[in-house]
Amino acid sequence: MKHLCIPTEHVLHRRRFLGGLLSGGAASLSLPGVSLAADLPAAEQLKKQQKRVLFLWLAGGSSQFEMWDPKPGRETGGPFRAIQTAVSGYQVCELMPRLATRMNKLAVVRSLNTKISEHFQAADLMSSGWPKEAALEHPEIGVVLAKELALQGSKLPDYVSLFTTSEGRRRPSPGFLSRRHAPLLLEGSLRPSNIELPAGLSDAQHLERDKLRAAISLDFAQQRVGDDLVQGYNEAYSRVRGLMSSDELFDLEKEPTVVRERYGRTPFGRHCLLARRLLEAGVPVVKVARGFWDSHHDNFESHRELVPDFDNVLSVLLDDLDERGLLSSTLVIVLSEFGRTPKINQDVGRDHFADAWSCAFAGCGIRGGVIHGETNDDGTAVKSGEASAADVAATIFAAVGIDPQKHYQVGQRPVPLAKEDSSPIKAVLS
Amino acid sequence: MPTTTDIARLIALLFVLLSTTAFADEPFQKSAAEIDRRLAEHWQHKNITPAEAASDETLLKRVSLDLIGRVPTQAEYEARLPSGKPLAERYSAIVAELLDSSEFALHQGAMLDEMLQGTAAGNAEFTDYLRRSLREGKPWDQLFRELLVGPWDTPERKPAARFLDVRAKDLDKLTTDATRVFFGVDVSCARCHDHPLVDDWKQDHYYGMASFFHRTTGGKGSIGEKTEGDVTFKGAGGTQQAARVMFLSGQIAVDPPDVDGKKPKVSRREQLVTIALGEQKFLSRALVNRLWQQYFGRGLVHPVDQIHSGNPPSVPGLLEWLAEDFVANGYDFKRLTGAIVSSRAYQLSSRWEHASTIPDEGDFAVARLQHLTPRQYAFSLLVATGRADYSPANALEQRAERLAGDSANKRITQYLAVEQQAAELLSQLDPKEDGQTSAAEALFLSNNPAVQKLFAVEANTLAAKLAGVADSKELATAAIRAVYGRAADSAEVEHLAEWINSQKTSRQRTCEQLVWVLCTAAEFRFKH
Repeated sequence: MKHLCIPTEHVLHRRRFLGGLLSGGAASLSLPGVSLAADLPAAEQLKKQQKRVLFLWLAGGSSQFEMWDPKPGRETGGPFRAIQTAVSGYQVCELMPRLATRMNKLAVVRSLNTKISEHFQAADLMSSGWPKEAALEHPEIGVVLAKELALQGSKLPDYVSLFTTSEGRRRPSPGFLSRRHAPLLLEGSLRPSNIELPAGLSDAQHLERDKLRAAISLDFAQQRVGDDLVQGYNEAYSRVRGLMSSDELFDLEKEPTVVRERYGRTPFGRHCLLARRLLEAGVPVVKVARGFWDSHHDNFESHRELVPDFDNVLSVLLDDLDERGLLSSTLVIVLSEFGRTPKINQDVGRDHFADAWSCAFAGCGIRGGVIHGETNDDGTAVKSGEASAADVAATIFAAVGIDPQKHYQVGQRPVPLAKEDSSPIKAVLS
Repeated sequence: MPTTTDIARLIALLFVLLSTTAFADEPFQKSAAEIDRRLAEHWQHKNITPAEAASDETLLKRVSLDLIGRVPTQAEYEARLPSGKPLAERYSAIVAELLDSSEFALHQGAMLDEMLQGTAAGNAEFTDYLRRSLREGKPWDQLFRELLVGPWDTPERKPAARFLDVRAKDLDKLTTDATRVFFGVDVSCARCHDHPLVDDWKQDHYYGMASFFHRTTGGKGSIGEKTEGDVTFKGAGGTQQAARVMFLSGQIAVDPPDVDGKKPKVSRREQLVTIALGEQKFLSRALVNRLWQQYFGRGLVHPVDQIHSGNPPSVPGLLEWLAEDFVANGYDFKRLTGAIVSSRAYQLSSRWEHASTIPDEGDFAVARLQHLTPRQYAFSLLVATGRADYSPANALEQRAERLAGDSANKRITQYLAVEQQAAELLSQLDPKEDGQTSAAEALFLSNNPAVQKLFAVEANTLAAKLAGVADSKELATAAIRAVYGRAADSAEVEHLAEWINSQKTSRQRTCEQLVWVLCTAAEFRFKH
């Protein structure tokens, strides 16, 4: 490679926004109209109307037994106790003491039966709400929401997806939707790549050359058939300056120490704090993936490590969103590709299990304190309130006020946002 | 006083006359004339006056992008557009030259790889197999046969199995992809029930097509086929039934009679190839329609995998005729390509200057802007900035080529070198299918250090050459000529010169930014 002389490992795969290329010394850019939304009165207004969605994706498959659906005293129950929650008659695993006291903010669905227990297929199913089709790739729910909840003229991305571990490293697919709606990916680091001013170019020159680029593009487009493409093209470039000036947004050092301490110094804590900053600034959809849940070995040891971090971070996050007046407009979803088996295997692990597991919702459109559905005594099957992957998708759309049966036209085929035979889980909706 | 309809008819008639009397010294020109005749009739019927012809520079750029995947070099612009001589006189010869060039096979091989493999594209051995096939002039029917049944017995032929190999573990995907890619039909919706929107396709068709692939085994570098095993499926009534081994047309594969009470060995895939080649229609229409889409941005049937009776072609009879012509001329890929790009419709402007409303996309009466593919854009960036080497072979290299018995050796090496350079850009550029640009591409082009370096003043780069031009207007004129291959108009020279003069930086820096502006502006990012 003669001219593009950067090491291969730094050359980023499409849309992998974060690499080792960018380090320190960010050029400081300040543009009017782009800063933390809270600083601006107009943005304050916007903030009230805007709906937001935060996905917490527990990659690999978290155990419902060690979280939302404990079976103390049963052979399948494992070593942990169950503790009483703020919701009368509902117990969670003792690893979640903080969430237990906040259960009136959460709605739990304990009756998912999603059938597929292979990682990739199950992740596709849960993240899109659709079974695999050979000829049609369905977009991830987050991408659909990014399209539906996008703010006109926003200089920020419509969707940011964060993960650092290999297990969480599944890029949200735009499917049949435009790549324009694909998320900005933060992989490995918390700052997007290519947002630094190129060496030797002043801020003013950077601005001026793009103005000229946009102007001659519009001149060219006059009387051309397909000029709408040029408008879309210029819109994409018009986001560049906004993303560059949102540099501060990605800088957690801008948060008070006390806030950073509350979220904790774990990657999940840092990611969730960044997610809160992005949501507050007007990014409508954020996804945080946390890996290492695939506990075929030593399920209890790994959950003893993972669940308290999750318990703390989600509790702090819900409090923080609430205190800032954002929780009522922000839907928070805790989801995996599947749960884990009732049977404890010979390696003291639990394997993949999609027949009876749990997910949780909070915030926008959600009725807190609702515990929907039930599994049997050993947690081997759903006893009541069975819900499918498509029902989860329909619930998400309904919670933020989007009709799950709204259609996109794909070629000649009308495709609803959530599969035709799905229905939202009404009990958890407010 | 003649009405607009009369005038349109008169003009259409004129074109019919012109096209039928057109010289036809290249084999594809006869077919191009028939395309013109049929489209002229269609326009006349719909009372459409097509757009003006594209300018010579635009057409040369368009046909280079389409056939060899990049904009012309400075030398090519100068050699092919000598001043005062209209391109029309030499267009056929230039098309023939491009079709015969090694770059055509190299570029089209990569395009075919994307067409056949979709998201699994990018395997070098498979792409090179396609490139060799095109270079040898292998007809499409033979390629089709080699992809589905081989033989895969030599190192050269083995990569052909890759179409099956990447899908062999997923019968649904194999059935659906093969049917879409080769026959332009999407039967996947007929898997669980008869197709809800398309009357043509029943469950029988889906499972019929699946039957041809059901016995295929492998998927880890070798493909096999069992001699037994049949598909059963749950029909609409809920009863389990045996699938008939049936092609899309309804033709059933007939097994040879038993010999000594034993079933003789039959290859289901061989049966499929035999039926499809016998019927011709599905295989030929699908490819013609896909190539048409590649050059016009839209198929005669749209979408390209929805060829069925409920979705007729937008120009009646043209796809059918072109497909028959393709078969009659030995499934010749180059000839078909030459015919399409020599048609009048291909040579129309993307400007619509008539007062009337813009015709439908399916009328092909005006060109439409299209995103360059990532490959076209990356290659073109390297050409325009002066980073790609396309210099002709020197005396020593010519001698080496003669010894090797390959006069295209140097150009192939050059192409592969540019392809390697382009690889790092490719993954960051937006694919053309969805017709939208992402902020990620804009950020990459705007700020990525490696991309900025493309535009830098260094030995032989365009910015370095421009930096020697002192006068701002001359500089603007030279930059437009170099990047867009055309003369600048006075208004844009004024505009650019004003910008150049306002830059508070060195001349070199200004030239770098000017090249960046021209290469990221719409005129360079879109085929037009």
